[in-house]
Amino acid sequence: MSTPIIEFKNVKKRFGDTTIFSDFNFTVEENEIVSIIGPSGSGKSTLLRILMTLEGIDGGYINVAGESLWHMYWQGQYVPANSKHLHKMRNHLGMVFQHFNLFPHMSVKRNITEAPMRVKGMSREEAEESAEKLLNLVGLADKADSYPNDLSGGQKQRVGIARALAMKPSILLLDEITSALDPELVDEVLDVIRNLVKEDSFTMLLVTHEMYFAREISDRVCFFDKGTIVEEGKPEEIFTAPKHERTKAFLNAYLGQ
Amino acid sequence: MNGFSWDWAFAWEVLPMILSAAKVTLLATLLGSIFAIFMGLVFALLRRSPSRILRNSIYWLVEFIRSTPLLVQIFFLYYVMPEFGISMSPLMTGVFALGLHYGAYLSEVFRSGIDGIEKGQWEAARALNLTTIDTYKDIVLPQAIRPMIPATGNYIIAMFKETPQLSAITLLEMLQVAKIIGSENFRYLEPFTLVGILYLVFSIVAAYGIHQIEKRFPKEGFTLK
Repeated sequence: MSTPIIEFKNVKKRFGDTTIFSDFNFTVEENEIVSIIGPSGSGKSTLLRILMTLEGIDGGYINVAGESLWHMYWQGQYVPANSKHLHKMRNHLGMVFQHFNLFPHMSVKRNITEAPMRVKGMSREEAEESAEKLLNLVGLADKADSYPNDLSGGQKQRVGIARALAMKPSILLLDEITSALDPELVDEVLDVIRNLVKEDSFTMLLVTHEMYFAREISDRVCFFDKGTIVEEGKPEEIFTAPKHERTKAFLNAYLGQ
Repeated sequence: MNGFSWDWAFAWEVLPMILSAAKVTLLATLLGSIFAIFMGLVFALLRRSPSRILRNSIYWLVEFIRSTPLLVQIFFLYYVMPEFGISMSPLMTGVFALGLHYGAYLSEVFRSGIDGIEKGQWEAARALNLTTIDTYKDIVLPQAIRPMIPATGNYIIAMFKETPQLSAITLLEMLQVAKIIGSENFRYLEPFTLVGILYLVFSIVAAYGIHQIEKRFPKEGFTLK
């Protein structure tokens, strides 16, 4: 295989006295869809948050698209990245959040056009045209002028997806995007992701508790526990024939098998 | 004893002078508020700077300004600064002193308003790669302003009521003018009463106005173009 698009090398991460990753290694290939499952507190979301530069690391290296994320090469050595470097690196990544984090004071359209206009310097017309297309894609063309608080949870999350896509990231991070939704709203959001990967190739990293969805959509599933990947493999392997005891216990509890 | 008998004719006679002094009071309050809001915002944002030295210096500066009397600051600016080659008119000194003093108080209001914005908003802004300036300008401040309005308004009214302190540096604001009228005519009852009533009226009107602004302000904040 070619060079991985995401590479964690000996990454360490602590929150105060709690160690999340003591020596974490992980790679994702380009256009690979990887699901991360596992008990809460196992570091799944932290992994995404580190990639999105919402959390720093305490050791090790991370490469994204062939470049170091948290370090930069300066005068012959690696030094911690400055904000300019992080700004450049973030262009590769987009994130959809569990709690949507839409901007409540902005219309749906403006939520989507804000970053392309401010960050990419797109003209308003251009940005709105692209927002329209994205709203079509997520089935909310009629909600462009609504405000987030007038939307259902499922609709909010579809806007969240459109907003992330508007920046055309090559890597999409989905952080438990259906966990805050009522059960009957989960499918409308997952359908958007299904369509997305059908139409375009994406590198996608998703943390999810939707086991059936993970199985259906992923190229690879990683079972996470206590900051390590206990077991990983093709979805069929993980879900039908898990090898590790902890994976079995987790899937039993989750799927009631 | 004529001190206790109200003289309407005298009151009407001096009212125009007091009203024109009220303009000075209002002007000082208006300019002082603008400067205070500006300084408050600057202090609040610098308190969130990544540089610890800057954060701490601003913290101590704000503490210092809040813990020393306004009158001392007014005197300092008016009598001491000229020795360093900076001299300003009484009005400008007053605006500067009021703005600095109340800016220190307002910075706490602004700080807690900014702290009230959910972490998720900052994270979404970062995930979308917005710059810090755009994040404040487009995401944080538009949502933070409404909750700040009542406390900001109270400080502005408090500032308005402290403008008589500027009489100490010869600014001809309402109270100073009333005092001059009183000493020239040997009657203090009417001018001081009028000043009191004007302060009351302006304060009530301002409080009502602030409440209206808060009520009409969009609940979720506003969007810049």
